[in-house]
Amino acid sequence: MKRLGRALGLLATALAVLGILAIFVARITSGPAPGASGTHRDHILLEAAQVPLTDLLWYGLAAIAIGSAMITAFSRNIIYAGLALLGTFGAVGGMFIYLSADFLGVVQLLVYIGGILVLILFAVMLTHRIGDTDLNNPVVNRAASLGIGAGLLGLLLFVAIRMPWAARDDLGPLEPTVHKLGAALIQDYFLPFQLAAVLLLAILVGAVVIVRKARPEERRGET
Amino acid sequence: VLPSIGLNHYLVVSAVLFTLGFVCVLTRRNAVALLMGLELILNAANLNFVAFNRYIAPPDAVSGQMVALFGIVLAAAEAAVALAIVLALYQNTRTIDLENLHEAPEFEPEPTA
Repeated sequence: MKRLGRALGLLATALAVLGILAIFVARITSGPAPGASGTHRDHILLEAAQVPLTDLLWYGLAAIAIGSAMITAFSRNIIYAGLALLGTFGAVGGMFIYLSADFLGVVQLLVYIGGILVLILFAVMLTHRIGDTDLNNPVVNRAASLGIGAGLLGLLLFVAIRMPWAARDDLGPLEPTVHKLGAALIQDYFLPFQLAAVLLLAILVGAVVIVRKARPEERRGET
Repeated sequence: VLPSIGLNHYLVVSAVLFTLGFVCVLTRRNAVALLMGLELILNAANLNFVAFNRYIAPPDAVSGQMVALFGIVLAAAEAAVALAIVLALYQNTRTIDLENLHEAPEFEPEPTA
């Protein structure tokens, strides 16, 4: 399983490298080549140039997201699993930018990678004896879980692909949405905004209280 | 060669991420690894919200992005509290193995002054 995780990581890396290479090749070959004979139009690398660069980059992001998520889900080493989350979070943030949600992309970078991931890695390091990295992320119910997962994946893919989604075809250009989000936060979403602020304060205090170790001398001092 | 990017692409990626997170939650015995699966699930849901906001909602709407924004806030809150609980659990029982938790030593009562 460890070997599988490593292989998946290599696969994701290879896909990413291939994507970047394909982008470079496409950029080089799609430009007007001065003095080129132009007789090699059926070359496969030139075929790749027909795909827009942004699409190629998107496929690279998708490969990184899914490959990293597979490492997270299947790796036996919890440090690898945690670090692989970095790829998933980053790639999903990139997809947010593709979806004209630039602010969300940056928030994903700040909150998920800068906050949640660091928290998770801290928890891993604080709760594990670093020595036993061999089997610190054991797996149970593998057959049943994989069966349920396969069924769920089939159902979700069926819905995602076969459903006649009412997608618009007059998509506007990609625009920054920071202004619209800010306006909506202090108009339509003002109450949830304030509730989120109170929630975060409560979380902050609560987390500190939960992890705090009460020392005996300190307790005596209180009373 | 490859189809251009549309709503279906995002839904497929999101479905795969969701399934992987789900399998991770089902199979893990380590509490922290289970939380990683939860984060994958939340990320998949956020991706769906933003994709629907781009492709289906009216052009000026940001409601999907707003839901995703609150989802990120809630995910951060959930991660902070859950990891604090895991840490407190570890300090008291020296294990975060969810299968062994029921046979772990009892929580020591706090010393009274």
